[in-house]
Amino acid sequence: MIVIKNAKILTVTNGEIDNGTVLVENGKIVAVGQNVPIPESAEVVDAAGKYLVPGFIDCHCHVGIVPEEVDWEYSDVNETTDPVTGHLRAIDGIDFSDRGFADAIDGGVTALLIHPGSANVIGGTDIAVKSWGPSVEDRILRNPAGMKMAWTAGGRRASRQGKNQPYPTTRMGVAAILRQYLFEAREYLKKKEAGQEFPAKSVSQLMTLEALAMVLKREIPARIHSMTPRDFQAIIRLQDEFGFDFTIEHGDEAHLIAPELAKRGIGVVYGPFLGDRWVPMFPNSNPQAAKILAESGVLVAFQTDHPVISIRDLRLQAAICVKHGLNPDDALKMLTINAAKIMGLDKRIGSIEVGKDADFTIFSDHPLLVKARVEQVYINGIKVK
Amino acid sequence: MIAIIGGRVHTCGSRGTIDRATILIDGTKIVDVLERADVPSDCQIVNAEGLEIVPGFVDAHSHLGIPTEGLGVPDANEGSDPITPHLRAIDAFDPFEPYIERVLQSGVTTVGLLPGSSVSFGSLIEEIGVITGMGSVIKTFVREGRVTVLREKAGMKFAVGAHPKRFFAEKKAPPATRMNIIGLIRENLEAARLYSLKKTSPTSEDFNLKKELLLELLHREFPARVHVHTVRDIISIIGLQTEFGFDLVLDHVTEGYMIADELARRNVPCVVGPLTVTRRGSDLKNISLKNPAVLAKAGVKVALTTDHPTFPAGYLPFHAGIAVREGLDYEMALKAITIVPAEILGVADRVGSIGKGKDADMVLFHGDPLEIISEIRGVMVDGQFVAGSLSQGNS
Repeated sequence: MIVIKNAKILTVTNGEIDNGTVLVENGKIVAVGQNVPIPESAEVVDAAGKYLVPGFIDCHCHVGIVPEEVDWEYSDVNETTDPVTGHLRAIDGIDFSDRGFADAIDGGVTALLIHPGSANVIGGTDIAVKSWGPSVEDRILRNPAGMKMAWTAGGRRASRQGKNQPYPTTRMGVAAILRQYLFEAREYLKKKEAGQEFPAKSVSQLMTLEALAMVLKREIPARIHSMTPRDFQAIIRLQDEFGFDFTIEHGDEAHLIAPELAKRGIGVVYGPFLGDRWVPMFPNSNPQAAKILAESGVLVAFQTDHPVISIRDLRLQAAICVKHGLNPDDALKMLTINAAKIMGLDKRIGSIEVGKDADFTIFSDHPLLVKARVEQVYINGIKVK
Repeated sequence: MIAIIGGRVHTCGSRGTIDRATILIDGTKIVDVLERADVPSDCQIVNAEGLEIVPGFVDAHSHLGIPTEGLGVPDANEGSDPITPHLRAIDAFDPFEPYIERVLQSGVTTVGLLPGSSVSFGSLIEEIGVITGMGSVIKTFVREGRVTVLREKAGMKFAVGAHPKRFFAEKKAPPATRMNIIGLIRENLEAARLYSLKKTSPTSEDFNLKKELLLELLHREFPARVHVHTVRDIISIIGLQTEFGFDLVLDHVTEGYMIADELARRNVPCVVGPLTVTRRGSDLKNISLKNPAVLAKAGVKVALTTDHPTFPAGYLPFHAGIAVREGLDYEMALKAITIVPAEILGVADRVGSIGKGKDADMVLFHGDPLEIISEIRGVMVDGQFVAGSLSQGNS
């Protein structure tokens, strides 16, 4: 058993606790409060008044799948040979010893949702993992955690990937492909439920339809790289036609239709905006976007899209939104519990609460300050930094 | 006359930091910085009680206003020829680019424009050259398309290492190796030297603009600004400097901390950053947040940069905050985004510190200027508040 005492605990779901104590046993939080009795056998850590914060969660990154330090030929993130590669799985491309996971811990990020890249209309399934664990199996939180799709695979990418992918080159093409595959997935499900065989053209198509069937059954959401209202509206039309859950990834202009997103319970994984993608690519990009979305009741989390920006700097994005008016408590939720909900893991992670995994960071100062240093990081109750 | 009273003034100059000072401004210039509160009676008073005042920030390496991949038709890099010293970044600058206003609002009032080269990354390879052209220094306060150019010929941009190597290798054109990149530079500098020897009775046929500009570099009219990451490339560049005798400034200098003492010994100023990029390729595998602190401790003159748009220009101040967290002295960090880049750009007579005779460019903060969540109350350029709540009421 480990006890962290004398901490300023930001629980996220139950307010702040000064001079707080957290008890950890078997990787779980077993007690949180001001007057928690400390067992004699416990190993005691004195947080000396510093901040104890739930491990941050990045809902969209490519840690381990885009390798760092080596040149681009080694990149594994985009299978550009076909617009639809729904049978691919991110887990098969991840190097779990990549330095990016250490970078995550350096920034207090303890859980990640790792995606295939966005060069494909349907890219494959993603996976939720912890930044550290005694084995790869121990680190997996949820696999698959979603199906990666990309709305702008056609329009913006065509010029670059055109050699391998003559179709689609337009948003209409992207929508048509998605609609075609959702249609086939629905047929596949009907046949399956009737005990009949689906006449697939190939095994890879069957595997894609099997994965898409999970989306239609709402077992996993589609996670869709999309930026502007015309993208979102096209996806919403498909949602109404076929019935599935989805999240908006990036969502540069998602704030423009915030009420609609709130009504439909569509979450937004917003970012990245510390790197070259931030300089406004869209006329309505707005640094107050996170604030506007939050005020409308939309569930928002942040992403670094690592390595576009370093996963270590996830919390700086939250600070930038606070600078532009976002409530600091909302910012903290976006780094933690909101992200956990978007991953479907809010029973396990995302706050300092009894029964949750002991994933947390001790910061020298409030985590929204640049000068705050990550001093200790715990995952499953084990000190990893 | 304007008097800004009661703020804590970080002059970034010889007077250091003064608590509760008075800054006197007449027209576009700073008249004086006083440690007392009495001022001429006809002064317009600005109450800066409780505020931190710093010089307008200076970013020494920026592609602001120059469209790159994803922001329109790319215009930052002439990929057709590795040697283009006759190009000027200012000719690609779009004064109406919307982001310029946000940069000004963040307190960055002066930038050193350079011809572009985003870090090549993943499957994206941005066009680049080896000698890419001339940089200029401008103010970010742009109105009706009019730009204040502080120095038109501020530095000749070079780029070495993996980025040009990869770009030209993909085009199946030289230079495909680091040896040839350095070889090309040597060849062109030597050609400029020989060209100058032939200029006893020049005719219009002999005139060669590329060589003229490289000759100006050899005559130290402006420095070479060399985009470089690795120790091996830094050493090659220093070799070229020894051979040809031009003024040298290193940019990015990712592995600079590994040879900090050598750089200090040779008095090579370093424009370091952006710190927050990931290890994109083998050239960046040793990137370290501690780079600025190690270099500064060794005695190297360090400026910090965003290399906008690699890192958005408006975030220059908290970039310095990151360097402080990782060991750089606070005052040095402030100087790294004010007077040091101003000196490197050759415009320190005008900007970079708060002192007599300098342009009245400054930023008033509520809170630590190097923290993201601090609030900017006012950005002043040439004696006028142009951003922040203090600018309301100005036309």
